[in-house]
Amino acid sequence: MASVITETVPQQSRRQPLPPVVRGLIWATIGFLVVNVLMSYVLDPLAGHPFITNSSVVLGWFAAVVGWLLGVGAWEEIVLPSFGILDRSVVTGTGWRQYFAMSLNHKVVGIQYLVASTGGFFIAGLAAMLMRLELMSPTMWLFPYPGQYLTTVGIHGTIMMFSVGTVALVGGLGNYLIPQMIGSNRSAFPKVSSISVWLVPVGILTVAFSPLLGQWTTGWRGYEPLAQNDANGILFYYLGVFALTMSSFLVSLNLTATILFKRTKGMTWNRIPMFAWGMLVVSLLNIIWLPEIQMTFVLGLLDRLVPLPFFTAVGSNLTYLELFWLFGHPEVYIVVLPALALWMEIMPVMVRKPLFAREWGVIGVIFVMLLSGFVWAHHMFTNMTYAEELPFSFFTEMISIPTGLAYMVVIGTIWKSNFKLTVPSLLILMSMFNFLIGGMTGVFNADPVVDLQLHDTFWVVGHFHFTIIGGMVFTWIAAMYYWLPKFSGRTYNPKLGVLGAIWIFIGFDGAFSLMFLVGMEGMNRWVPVYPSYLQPLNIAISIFAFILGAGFLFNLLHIWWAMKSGPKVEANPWKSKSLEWMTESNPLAENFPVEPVVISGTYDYDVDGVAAIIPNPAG
Amino acid sequence: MEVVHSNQVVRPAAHVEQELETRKVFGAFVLFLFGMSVPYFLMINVRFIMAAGFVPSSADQTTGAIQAVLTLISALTAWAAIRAIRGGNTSAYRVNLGLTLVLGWVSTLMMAWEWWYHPFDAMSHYGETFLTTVGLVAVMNLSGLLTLWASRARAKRLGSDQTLVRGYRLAGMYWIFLAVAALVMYIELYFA
Repeated sequence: MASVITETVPQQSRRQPLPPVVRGLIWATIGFLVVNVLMSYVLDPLAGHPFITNSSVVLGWFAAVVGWLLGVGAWEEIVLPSFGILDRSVVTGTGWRQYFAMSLNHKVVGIQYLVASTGGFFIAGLAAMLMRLELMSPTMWLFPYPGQYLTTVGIHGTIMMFSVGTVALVGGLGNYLIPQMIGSNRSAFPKVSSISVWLVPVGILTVAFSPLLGQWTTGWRGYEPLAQNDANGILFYYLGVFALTMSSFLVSLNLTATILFKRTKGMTWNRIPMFAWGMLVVSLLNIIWLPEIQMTFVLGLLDRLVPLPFFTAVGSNLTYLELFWLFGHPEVYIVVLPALALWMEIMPVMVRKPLFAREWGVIGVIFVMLLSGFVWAHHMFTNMTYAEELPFSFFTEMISIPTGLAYMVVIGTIWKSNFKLTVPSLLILMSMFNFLIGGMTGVFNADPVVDLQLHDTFWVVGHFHFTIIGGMVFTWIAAMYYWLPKFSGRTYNPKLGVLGAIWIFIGFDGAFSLMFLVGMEGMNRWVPVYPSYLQPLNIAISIFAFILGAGFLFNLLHIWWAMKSGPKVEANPWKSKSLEWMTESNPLAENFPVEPVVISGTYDYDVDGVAAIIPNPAG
Repeated sequence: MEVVHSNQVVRPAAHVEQELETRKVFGAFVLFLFGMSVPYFLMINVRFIMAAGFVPSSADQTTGAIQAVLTLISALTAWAAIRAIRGGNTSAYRVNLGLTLVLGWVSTLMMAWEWWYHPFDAMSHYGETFLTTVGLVAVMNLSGLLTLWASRARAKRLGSDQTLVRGYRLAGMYWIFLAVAALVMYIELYFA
């Protein structure tokens, strides 16, 4: 139920002497230095040798994060009010400055998340380009040591999974769109999202700078006890991912409460938009599994700091893998479920036809959520007996049924419709095709006999990139084109949009479909050197990967240009019935001057009329 | 989207909005507690993976028992504080919350004692799970104590009205959750 709750505005306010981000950086630096000096000079029996130790850098990092969050605005917005002190300082700023401080505007927060995720995407993408450059030769030529290559692989995977896959659609589009879609002016807990977004740059930079502490060869999984053999870069892996997952956890709490409790009149359960359903189930997955992996990482951290023997050779060295994948496979659905929901959200608008079998779409995303906790051990078939493998193989194949319901809903919606090929619909069709390849190749991995042959080959790399990039990233770009008029009041150039879509489709499908081939021919993961007979295929994959990287950059520049200088469009260019199109395009404006009332389904394109009305404020 | 203006709908009354706000806050609180319970469940699992039901004979059950009793009493005083604030009695709320804070600090410091003077090998499977579990409980307790402190200070400075009472109650309920979790972990560590 939407309600406009006015913030307590101080009668007199004074400006901060420093911009919040600058103040955050200063406080973070002070926090790190104070705690690091305390740890390495005062508490360490070997004072000052060296200046940065494992313990000092970990505790210093926590102090720096606290300083950063307080500096960007948590001091005035959260800490002081919690103790009943109503400070009069202004930290949010006005206009563009809002994007560089804590903001209670869910749309500003959504854009902050999107920008941070995009930054992470290109940092991780740069790492991928370096990997592909290295693999153009069967011998070491770019990286002097294998550990440096593996560290690059780890940085790529970690930033992609935890700052892009988990964050972009939930933190970015979720924060921006969900309150509008359900007819609310704000999220349930604006302060929660306003602070959580500032953990994303912390997490990305912590992982990106992990080589400062030394290499780590574990990839995005942080495998123990493998990590025990490495230098200390794994510390920043644990800490960076801790920050990123904490951000996603907080956003998920906020979005769940928003969807459950902030819906406007008439936004009943059978009218909730599919994207909101996607956000709801993903948020529930996050609330369960993110604390689980955080606690696992704390144990890994203690293994190195104390050190405790949890996951070492004298401990239980498979336990880390079990605890990791218990989170790790639901993570795949955390990434993909919002994309499936977006297919079902956007397609009815494109074809001007009611969403086909909407209830089955909802059932599909709910059952994917439920089954996602029963499939994790298929990542460990090489460590299991056949009897243990059977149930996980069964559930892995079963989960394709509710996933297939999303296809059924979208195809049924397109069936016999006036389908209009636009850039968003083209990208969604591409996403559906790619995710289908990812899903079908996953069935092979679900079969233990086949999986034992394919395990740790580039077949698996191809499979999961087809699900993650094919499913999520293509849909993310489709959503950016679709809601571009909402973000900016402008739209894209259709020819450039189609060019961008075809460009990344060729680059992506070229690179990753060849990975199936090279994997079956014997190309292992996690190695920068390989038999020379695999070089021609690797060169071809790398060329397609560079095409893909350039294609992503092209789409980014096109979207950026469109937001700044693209043709202006009317408020609702797609003639959508969804509530977010009733609001102003300016992200800084209030959504609804008066609470709207939903009077019919937002996918009812077979009837004329609007889905919601704005009551007259005069009553 | 065409905007149609209608005169048929009026805003909900203030008390209805308050009721909705209460449902929102407490609903989200339940979700939050659900997430917060996961690390405890994980540590219970890890303990049984690592050490099954083994408890060393040298485990200091007396210190653990005193700390558990203090935690239990602190949960009762937190409950009394919640009842007081629901009745609009801010001063009783602050007194009971003050007691909860004292008991909570003592029990948490006793955990630090347990943690520091563990009478068994920290490198053993039981030892590592004991230290990590007690550490988890202590860190979570510190977050609860900070919340109680902030809530008590807020009650002192701002008094109580309907919007503030929700937060005061949540602080007490969060501590009760932590106390129950600490008791469960105590049983798991010393008697399982």
